Amino acid sequence: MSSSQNNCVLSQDILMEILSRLPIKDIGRLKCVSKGLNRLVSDSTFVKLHLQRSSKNTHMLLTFEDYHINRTRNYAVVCPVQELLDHPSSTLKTLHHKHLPFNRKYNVLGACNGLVCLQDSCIDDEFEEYWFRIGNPTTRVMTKDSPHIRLNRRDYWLMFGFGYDEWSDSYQVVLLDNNRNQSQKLEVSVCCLGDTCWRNTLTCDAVTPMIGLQSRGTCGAFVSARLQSNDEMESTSCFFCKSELKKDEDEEIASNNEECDCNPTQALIANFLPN
Amino acid sequence: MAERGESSEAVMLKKTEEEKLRKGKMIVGDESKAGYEEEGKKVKLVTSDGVTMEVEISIVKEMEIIQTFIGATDTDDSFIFPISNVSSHILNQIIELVKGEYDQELAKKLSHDELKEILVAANYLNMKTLFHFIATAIANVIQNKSVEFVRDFFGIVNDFTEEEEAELRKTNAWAFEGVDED
Repeated sequence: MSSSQNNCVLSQDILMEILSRLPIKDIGRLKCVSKGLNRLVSDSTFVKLHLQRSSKNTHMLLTFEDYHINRTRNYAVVCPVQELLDHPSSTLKTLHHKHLPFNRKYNVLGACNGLVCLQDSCIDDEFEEYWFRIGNPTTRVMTKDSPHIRLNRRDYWLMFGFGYDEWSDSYQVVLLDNNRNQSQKLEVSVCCLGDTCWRNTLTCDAVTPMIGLQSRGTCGAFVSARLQSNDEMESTSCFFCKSELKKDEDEEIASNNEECDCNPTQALIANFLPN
Repeated sequence: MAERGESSEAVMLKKTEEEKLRKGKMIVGDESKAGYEEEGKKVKLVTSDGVTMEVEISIVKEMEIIQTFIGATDTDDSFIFPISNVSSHILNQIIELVKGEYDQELAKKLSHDELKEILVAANYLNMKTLFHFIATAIANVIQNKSVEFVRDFFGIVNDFTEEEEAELRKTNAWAFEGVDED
């Protein structure tokens, strides 16, 4: 990094300590300061340090549908929970967070470290096909569709989950596919962010579905390489977002456009990832 | 049976006695340190500008680099520790901050250069609480400020061409909404 007339020039390590304490929005601007700083904040060491610090600040992902006559879009908004607690009457507009638009046929599968995984499917009489996109609502960057996974249509249960695998240092979509073709086997397939195909990682004896799990549940929380049903988490956060936000949002949107309606449909706890 | 009971009791007694003895030894062993940590006791520090300052032991305790050194040597009143990277002005500021129990208001009174110099000193002296406090204070100063402000604050020269910078600002446009005036 170049120095100037300034007396005190900080080392890269010390700079990193300061900058990792800044919100993600500031990091985006820091990229424009100089080549050296751009490299510093884009480096994976910094990204991990920043994530480690910012994950102490819980964020919430709020998705809603925006109905128009000709087009309906889904949006995702990230709100720091502390900001909502400090300003209980916040509207989407005052939260200063732009929305990540996505096609309405996508479902939110899960969120992890500030990334959101969206799932889409195509189901006919014989087959069902699933694919995913991973987006960052903060930077509004979205990946292209993942490779599709095609399954025979049978009456068995399957479950998808999205999360970060520390061991391989990658973001993954995991599919648990129980007893396909009456094989009495549980198959686990994985597609990492950036992968060009699905990989079968494990085959073992079929398991009895957990009590309370829908026979064809497609949404699970993927925590530390374990896939869990996220019913409880979802209902808690949904309750929070509805009680805190729904009324104001509706008023906000209604004042802008009468044809527009907005209902939060799902909320998940999410943190930030700078890149 | 009774005999056996007695003997085990005796062993127990012996053990407690041994323990007491060991504790006693520990107290004896710790005495030099305990005495050293007496209130009002001071350590002489020589700053980069050659000033010898007597600093209270409660403050020196936070300087882990000096603690390691103290732990390794027999200490007495003649103990002098040179801190060649820290000026007397900055050491005074550090003493104020530690005494003031890291009051945010005190940090607000510091100039940008003082903040940076204290951070470098805290890093050198290995003062973890102070380092975190000042790093957070600096982050608060530059938070939501313009690119130009950050360049000026850290003394960083813009080495982008106009086109490169314009392109980066475009890609990161989401980060430029609602930034404070300088």
